[in-house]
Amino acid sequence: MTRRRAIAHLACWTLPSAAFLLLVHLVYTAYRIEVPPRLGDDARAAITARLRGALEGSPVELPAHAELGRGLVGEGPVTVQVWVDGAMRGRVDGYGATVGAAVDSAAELIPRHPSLLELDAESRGRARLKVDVAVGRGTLERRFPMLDLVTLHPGVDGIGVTVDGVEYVLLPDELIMLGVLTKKKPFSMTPDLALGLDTDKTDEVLARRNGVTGAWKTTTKVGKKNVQVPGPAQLTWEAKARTYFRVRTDAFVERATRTDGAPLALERGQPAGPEPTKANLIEAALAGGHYLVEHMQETGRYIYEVDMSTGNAKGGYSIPRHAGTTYFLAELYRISKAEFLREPIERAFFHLQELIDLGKCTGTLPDGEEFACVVDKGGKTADMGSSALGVVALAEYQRATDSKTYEPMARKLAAWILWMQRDDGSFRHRYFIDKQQRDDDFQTLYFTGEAALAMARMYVVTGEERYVRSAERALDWLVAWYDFFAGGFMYGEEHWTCIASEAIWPAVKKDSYLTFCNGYAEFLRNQQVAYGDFPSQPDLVGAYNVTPFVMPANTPAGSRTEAVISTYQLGVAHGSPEPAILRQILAAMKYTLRQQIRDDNSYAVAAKAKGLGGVTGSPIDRSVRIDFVQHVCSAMIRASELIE
Amino acid sequence: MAKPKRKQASELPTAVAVEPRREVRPFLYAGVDLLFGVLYIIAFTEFAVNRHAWAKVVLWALPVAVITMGVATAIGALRKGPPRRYAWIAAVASATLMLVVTVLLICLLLASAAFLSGVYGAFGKAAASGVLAGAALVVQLVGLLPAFQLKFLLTRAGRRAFGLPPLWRKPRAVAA
Repeated sequence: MTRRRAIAHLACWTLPSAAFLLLVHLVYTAYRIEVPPRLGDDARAAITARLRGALEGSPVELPAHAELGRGLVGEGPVTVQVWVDGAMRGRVDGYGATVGAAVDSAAELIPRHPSLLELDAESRGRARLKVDVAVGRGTLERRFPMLDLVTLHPGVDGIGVTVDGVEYVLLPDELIMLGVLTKKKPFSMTPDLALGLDTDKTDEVLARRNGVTGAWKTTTKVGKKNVQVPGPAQLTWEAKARTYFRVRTDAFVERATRTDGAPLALERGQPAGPEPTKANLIEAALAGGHYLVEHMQETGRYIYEVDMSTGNAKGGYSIPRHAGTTYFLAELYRISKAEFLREPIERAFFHLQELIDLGKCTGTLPDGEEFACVVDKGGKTADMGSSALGVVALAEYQRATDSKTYEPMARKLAAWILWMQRDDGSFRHRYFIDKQQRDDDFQTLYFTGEAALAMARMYVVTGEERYVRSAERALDWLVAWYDFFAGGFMYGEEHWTCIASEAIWPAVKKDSYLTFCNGYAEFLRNQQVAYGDFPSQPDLVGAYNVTPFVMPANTPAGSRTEAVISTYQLGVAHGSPEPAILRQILAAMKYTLRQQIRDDNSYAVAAKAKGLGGVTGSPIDRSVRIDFVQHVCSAMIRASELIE
Repeated sequence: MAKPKRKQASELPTAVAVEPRREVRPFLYAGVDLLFGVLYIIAFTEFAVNRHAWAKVVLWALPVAVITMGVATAIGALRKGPPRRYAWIAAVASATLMLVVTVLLICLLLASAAFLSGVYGAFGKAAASGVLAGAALVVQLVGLLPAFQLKFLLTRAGRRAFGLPPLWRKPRAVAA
């Protein structure tokens, strides 16, 4: 081989790879934000002492500390927010070449802030200072439509804009509170997949801070349709020269009781949570119970969903979730015997009975047995989930109290459920009340599993064979449903199936149920975030997630754990418990304990939200819905029984 | 009437009395086959684990077939004598089996996608899309290698590499 030929060969094999590596390096360094190690306890304590001194009018000097001497890219800012009773009463942004200088700058601004000047001494003492030290900046990519969906790390990146020579910064957790994260739905086929930033709303907030006034949008008629078009404020804002950037912060907040230690380091606005010990899990589950009781109206209907940032209730209601939530309260009562739960549970049952009466979903079956089904106000159809989970809740309460007060109601609902079962064991999921007709076409993910659990629980409280046979046929159908090629690779939402599989033990002891649920647990375990999976997002460890680009929802960490707990208990009953499942349960509980609202992370929860004990939708969703609390806290109280 | 005995390749007259170039394709195919075999084994034990026994049989037929194909191709290229003929038969059979499995996998995945789409709403559509994407990949990940290799095995060059005569004689020009 000639020298020239050898060089050509070498170039041919190496140059393309080298070019690709160079491209990767250039793009990586253009967008990567390198951040220094987090500030230590001493530095955080010194910073808050300096700022608190400024707030309370008793100046404190910053000590000499190496971490306070660190340089700041872009001179910060160091943003200080003053939170009182869940409302931010004032914010200052201090700039400086080092952390210490920026903190001093912020401290000097605090006594001059008009809103903070209005605070009385008691409020200042009660206030919690939250500090964000901007430790890194990067490019905010807004030019390419697909990249635009993943240009911001949700809850980790904030946004800044320079306009008219002034910087305005929206902190990472401010974006969470504004509800502007993961707002675009790139694929209509999968509406649950949401990515990207609501740039319109973000721009509006930044424009207002810049002093732009007037209507952001106006409505105009195009043909017969009213269409929203940019208003004068938006046009003014867009006419300005703006430079956007991403910003990462080292955030921390004063503890609820400041004497307990150094300020708490935050990730996505959340400090580390309690360890999943038996006591902590019981305490957290009871806190969830308190939250739900606090959010139950006189009618027995829950306040369905509440925005923790504003305290405002959101709309909508789901009767299956009403029933499921009441089931959790009954379960909590059975395990804890906490008396505060009893009256609200009965109030929730009263509401179910009221809905049965209003919906006129009652009658007599061909065999002469009376039936009833639950339907929400104004509904023309009854779905299986409402009645099935109603039975589960009623039966659970009977297990807890040995009282047969609600057994007639449960029997009527169970009669309807039995009548809805097909010969192959599956259930019809919808019933037309006016036509008294069962719908054979409508099918959802959860209802057959819920009906199987209802039948299993009815067997437990009545001992009647027809219920256990119904549950067994349903479970056989659910497990066999996957007997097609692709079904061997996956599982759907089978948490009710596995709860029912355990609930039916020992009346039905089938290895196939344990095999199925062990497989389901393993399938879920493969989706669970382990230490080191997402190094820059340690707060996600224990959550169920398939990609770091999409934030995990908190509810699956609860509902799936309920199923996995049942699987573990079924394994114990079969004499073959899986230790890996126990570790899986504890990891999920550690994750959910962190997500639950407690004293130390409630600084930004509006007082009127009464959020303590609530469980938010996700690390970047500040709303609490009743079923979020139900599933997570049900998992907690059941997990507590597994820990000695 | 007795079937005329086919002449061995060594008995056939050569057109030009030069040393034939060594055929590298059998070695390349054997290497790629073994690589695919390893990748299939990793995939079916780590990433695409099917819990149905009958589905496992279908899936595990792939690494078995591709490794057999690779080993047979390597033997055919390296060994001398009668085993080369059996190696050729084993390689062709394995490639054919892989093509049959390819068609079977596509059928199973299409049926699964149709089932999911038929039973459920949005979830079914999303799951069905995933399954259809899988079906589309089967051609590239499973079907192409045996298709190319089978084509090679059936050509004169492929047969020659195994020391075997061509399957078909070249058509001769017929004098008017």
